[in-house]
Amino acid sequence: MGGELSTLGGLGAGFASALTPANLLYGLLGVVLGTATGVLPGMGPAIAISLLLPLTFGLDPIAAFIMFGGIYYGAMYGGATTAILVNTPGSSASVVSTFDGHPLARSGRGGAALATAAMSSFFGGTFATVMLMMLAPLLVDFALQFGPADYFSLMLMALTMVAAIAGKSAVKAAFATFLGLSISSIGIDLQTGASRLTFGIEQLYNGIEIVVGGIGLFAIGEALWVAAGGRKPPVLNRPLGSGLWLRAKEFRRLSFSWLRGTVIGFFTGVLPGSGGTLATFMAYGVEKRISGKPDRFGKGVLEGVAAPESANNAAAGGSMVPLLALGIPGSATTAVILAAFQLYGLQPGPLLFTNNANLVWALIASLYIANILLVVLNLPLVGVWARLLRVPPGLLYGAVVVFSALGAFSLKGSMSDVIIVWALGVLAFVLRRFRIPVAPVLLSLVLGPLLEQEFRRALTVSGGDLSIFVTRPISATLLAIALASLTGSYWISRRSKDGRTRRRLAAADS
Amino acid sequence: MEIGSKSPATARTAQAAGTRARRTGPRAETFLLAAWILLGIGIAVAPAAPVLAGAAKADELGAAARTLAPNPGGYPDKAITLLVGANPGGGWDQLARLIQQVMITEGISPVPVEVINRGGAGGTIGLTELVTRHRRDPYMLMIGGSTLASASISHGSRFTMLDTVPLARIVSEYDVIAVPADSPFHSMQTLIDRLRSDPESVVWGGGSAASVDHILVGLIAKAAGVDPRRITYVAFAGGGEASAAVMGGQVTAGVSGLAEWKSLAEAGRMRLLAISSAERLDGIDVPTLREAGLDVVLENWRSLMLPPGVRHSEREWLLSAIESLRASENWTEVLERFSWTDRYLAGPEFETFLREEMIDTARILQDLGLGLGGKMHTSVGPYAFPVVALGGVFCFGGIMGWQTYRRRRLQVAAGPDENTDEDGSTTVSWKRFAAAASASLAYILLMPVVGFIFVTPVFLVVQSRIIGSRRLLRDSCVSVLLTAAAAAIFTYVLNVELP
Repeated sequence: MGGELSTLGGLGAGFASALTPANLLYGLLGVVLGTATGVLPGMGPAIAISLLLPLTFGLDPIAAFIMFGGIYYGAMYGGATTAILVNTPGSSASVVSTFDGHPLARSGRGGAALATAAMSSFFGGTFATVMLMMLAPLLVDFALQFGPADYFSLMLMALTMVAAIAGKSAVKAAFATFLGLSISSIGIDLQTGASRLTFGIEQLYNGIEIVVGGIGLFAIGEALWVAAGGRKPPVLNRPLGSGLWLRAKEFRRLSFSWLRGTVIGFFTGVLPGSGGTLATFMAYGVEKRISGKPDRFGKGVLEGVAAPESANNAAAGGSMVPLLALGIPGSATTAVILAAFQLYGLQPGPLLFTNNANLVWALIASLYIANILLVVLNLPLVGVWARLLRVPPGLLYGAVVVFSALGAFSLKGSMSDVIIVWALGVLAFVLRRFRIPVAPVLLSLVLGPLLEQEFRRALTVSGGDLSIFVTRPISATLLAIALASLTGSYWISRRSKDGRTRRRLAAADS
Repeated sequence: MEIGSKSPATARTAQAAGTRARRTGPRAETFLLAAWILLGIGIAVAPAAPVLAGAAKADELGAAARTLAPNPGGYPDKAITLLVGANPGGGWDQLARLIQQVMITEGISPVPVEVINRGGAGGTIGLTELVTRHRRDPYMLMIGGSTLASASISHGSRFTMLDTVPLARIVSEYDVIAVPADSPFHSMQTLIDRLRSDPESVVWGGGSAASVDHILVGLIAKAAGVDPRRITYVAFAGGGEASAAVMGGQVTAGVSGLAEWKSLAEAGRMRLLAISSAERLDGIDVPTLREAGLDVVLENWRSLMLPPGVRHSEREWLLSAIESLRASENWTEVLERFSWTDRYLAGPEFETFLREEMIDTARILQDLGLGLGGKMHTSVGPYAFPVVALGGVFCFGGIMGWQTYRRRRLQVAAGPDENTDEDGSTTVSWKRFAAAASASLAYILLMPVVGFIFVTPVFLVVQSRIIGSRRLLRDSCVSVLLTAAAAAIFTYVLNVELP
């Protein structure tokens, strides 16, 4: 991407061509539509872009890119809104934001949580775009070094994040993890074409998609939970004003969370195939480990919202690296964006900068602009969104079910996904009733296919030799980190549980 | 409000709070409603702008003259839908969206053209829908091709492309064989020599099992005199992952569509050894497989299909629309941009081609060990992972049961559990859960039968009552409004046809 001077010059030219009043209007429209779509459960950025794509036909490419950028970032932010307020994430990438975001909303700081989410998204998105501009060529070569064995070890490391989201019982977390892995193996096997756990049902051949898992386990699960009286619906028990803005001290504390979330999210995003959901889990896990008071996580700390939200948007920026530099879509969303680019005659790949330099700079400029528009539009609207909680709970959670059903339906236009969503919601309810954490099910639903396929690819490449996982330096390093992280959390949980059990046994004996 | 000074202070505050809540309640709702209305206006105006711009553009080109008139039977008089049997982003989706784009900008079709995605199982889920749900519907066209032909065989699907009314083959794309930039193999010949002497040592990367890429590797092995079951093939999800594997040197050689790898090769990130076409393509300096002494030609063709029972006249109209599409400059430019070759074939010739293609595909799948009862060469079989995962579920489920039993024993001895619920697990009622779960299941099952518009308000009111609301009138009004808003958003903005 040339020297620094040409970077700045190119960016300047990009801004010059992107910053017209009409383009800004399209960007704003994109953000509004994206946010409004993202708020609906099940409507993640990928489906929002593909459904709204026909709206951009007839626009010139730059206006269309700005609108895409707006829809993309808007949809991601919209997903976080309902995650925080109603505990029903709009997409799988905002599941993690419920962990602390919703407790914050219940304690009357929903406004602050929403503001944090907006600012985290802005921070993550903007810095990821800066890194995209500066580091893309370097990162491409780094990402290409990753072979199947390395991916497998990375996924295994990510799986140890279960410990961070597990709750109290390690056995229950392990149960939930294996349950998720089992669900993830449903469908036609990529390597051999054999069908597994489908019981001959054609609708299961493609497996359970992550989006469907996210809606079912969390949105429907939560609606059933509230209906069964498991939790009083959240209320706005304080006027918004007091909780809306962050205090200066919090701001300072959060800036470190943003930084960590951005770096983790960006690098996860650069690796094709891992995606935003994984980035949010990793960022949350690391944030909890690093923080001095891990036991306060899950009860409503702003860091627990800031880290995943910045990671999510940074991953979006990161996934642009392989997309622009190699033409490789790393996620469902980037696959849709790639298709959209090609409709406009832009062929991402190594020759992109030579062939379409001005368009690329305009695209990067429009990512910045979309980011700024997102904050400008959504910070003042935080109060409006927070008023969602004033909707009577019966109707609110009824609407969650309705929109979840519609969201699942619009994926493929078939009722089978809707029924799967319902079944997963019932499963989530039963799990919660027996105090088994639900989040590990989703995490392993995300990781399972990658874990398995990369393991088998690695062994096919090595001719069945298991040593491939420890002889490759990247893989060996990642495995060591995974092992250290697992033993570390085992120690911590064992120490605290030992004490408790011993006390109880002593009480039983006496 | 004036209850009297005799009331205790606490009661008064509670009362005041109640009044306040009641007073702010409606205001907040009005506010929300206003926000929705604003959004609605924005949404209503939004699509108009680009569509108007598009119309203006079309007029500029004088495209109106090119618009086909409906046939004497009045077909078509509503939007034509292109059904894509894959998620957005793949080759079929691209073809559909380009047809849509060119039809719109050239003004060929007198009616709008829409694209819907029905991803899954190599397109067979979309195929089943086309054959069963859209019988005799001339407004539903499915995009298909080689992948669908092989998927319907390897998955043992209920329907194949022979159950549809094949309209025409439109374009073909050829596969290329590539090696990493620093690979020791500089020609297809040297790669084949290695394959002959040590088949397992050549690691091939490409699309999923039974894809065109996989089939090509099988054909190459067969032509080279190597048992196709002995090839080492690593399946990747989508062309992107396979590209990364080739560029990073993770596999010996890769197979994918020409368009995907042309620019990567031009940039020196990989080397193209051969192409699967019969003759060299114009402007592409890559030798064919025949030049390397292998009698293999394979095209990844893409076609349009109609549901069974469509009238001849409707088919004729669609064929003339395809003629106009192919004649347009825009389309020529598209073919060039995507390295697609125009391979138009229609009528009985196309049907014969389709039948032969199905037979050939079935044969090579059998050779690869992908057919019924076949066994493909892999290190770890497809069932190892599900067995481990399910084993974990049973193992930890068992431990959980045992722990619960042990805790019960402790609890009886030591009194109530020390860690009480934070999320209220003990307050949930199975009865209310059953009510809510069956209400939502009934809702989902009734939706396609009764229709979204009618069943949704009823469900919302019922759900409200389960959660404990007793304000029937308010609930009904809001339910109707909400249903209307949801229907409007999905139908007009997101273009999703509701059940």
